[in-house]
Amino acid sequence: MTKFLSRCVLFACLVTTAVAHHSYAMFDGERVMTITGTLAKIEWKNPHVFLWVYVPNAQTAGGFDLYAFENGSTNVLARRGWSKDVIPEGERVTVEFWPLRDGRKGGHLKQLTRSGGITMQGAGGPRGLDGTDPARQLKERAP
Amino acid sequence: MKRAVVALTGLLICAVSHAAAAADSALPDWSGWWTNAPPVTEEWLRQLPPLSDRARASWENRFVVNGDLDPMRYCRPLSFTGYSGGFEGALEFLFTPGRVTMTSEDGRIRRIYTDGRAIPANQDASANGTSVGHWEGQALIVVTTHLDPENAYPNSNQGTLQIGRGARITERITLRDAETLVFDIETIAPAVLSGPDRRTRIYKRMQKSMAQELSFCARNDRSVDADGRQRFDMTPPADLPPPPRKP
Repeated sequence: MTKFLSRCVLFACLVTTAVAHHSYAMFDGERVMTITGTLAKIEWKNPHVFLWVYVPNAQTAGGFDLYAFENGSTNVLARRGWSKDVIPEGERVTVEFWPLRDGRKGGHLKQLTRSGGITMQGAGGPRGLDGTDPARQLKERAP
Repeated sequence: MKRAVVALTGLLICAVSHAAAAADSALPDWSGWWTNAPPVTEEWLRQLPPLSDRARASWENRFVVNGDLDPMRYCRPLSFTGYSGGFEGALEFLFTPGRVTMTSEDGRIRRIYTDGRAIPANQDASANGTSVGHWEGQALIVVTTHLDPENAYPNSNQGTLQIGRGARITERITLRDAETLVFDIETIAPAVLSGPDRRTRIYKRMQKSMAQELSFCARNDRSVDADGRQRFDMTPPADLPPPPRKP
């Protein structure tokens, strides 16, 4: 058991360090939230691409909330089909994300679905490369 | 007599040049960029390194005590501890007579001397160490020593452990097929490992890919301050388009 836990901790370290340029402690990896809005901008830069999305909210003066989503680095995302202009500004998108723990409107992008239904995977985040729980992965693979 | 010496010298130079050209033409085609597959995390999951008890305790403790692992790692010089592309960077090879240069998209440069020279015993330690290599058929054998003991291990741009003194990394690099490059790596690092760590890393050639600079510098990172503290900067970019009309 001790050995198993030790392996879990080690792997959690690795998953974190493998893709993070900082820790992901600011994001709640236990929850995935979903919003739908219009893409305001893809901020295409290293070490993290940011996406900005206007989400309708009738309770606010402007009628919208502005959400910010961290994503992986340009190189990693490019290898997953992303680019600075892959999604036109103003397109309707649905974003699944691990929310910020402090309650602000944003988080780390897990997956984005475009208006035509095309799904694009994010990179990085508190759950590792593929968004799954590394400890559970390890357990499933344990002999 | 003088003319004969000049002619003979010319012939010798030609012969050496042709020999070098022939040697270069015999080298394998490693052109283009190479990206690792599967991800290194998968590789480590399958085969954890033989960490010494002390190193394992230090690593686990660091993870538990400090969720940010190493806030000072940002903009630290890139270093080599066995993974030429760090944990996610793609690689490129440049062949010149007597030398192979390996670069990664995050700016790492490894100079590997293949002209038969030995590493001087009094060589200074450095972030990428000193590397010599030789060809065994189509395989490049590289030995790297004189690594800076403070190099972060296992990931070169993330602080976890330090590789310590006396580290020696041997790589055997060869094509498995035209699109697959295999690194067989042996790491000896007495400060962190209880024995040699042997592993194989697979890289795939990236078709028609152009280099794209990859920077980890905190200066551009909305997620950390310049001093390494975490934040999540939600200041909208100056050129953010206005919101759509009120629904």
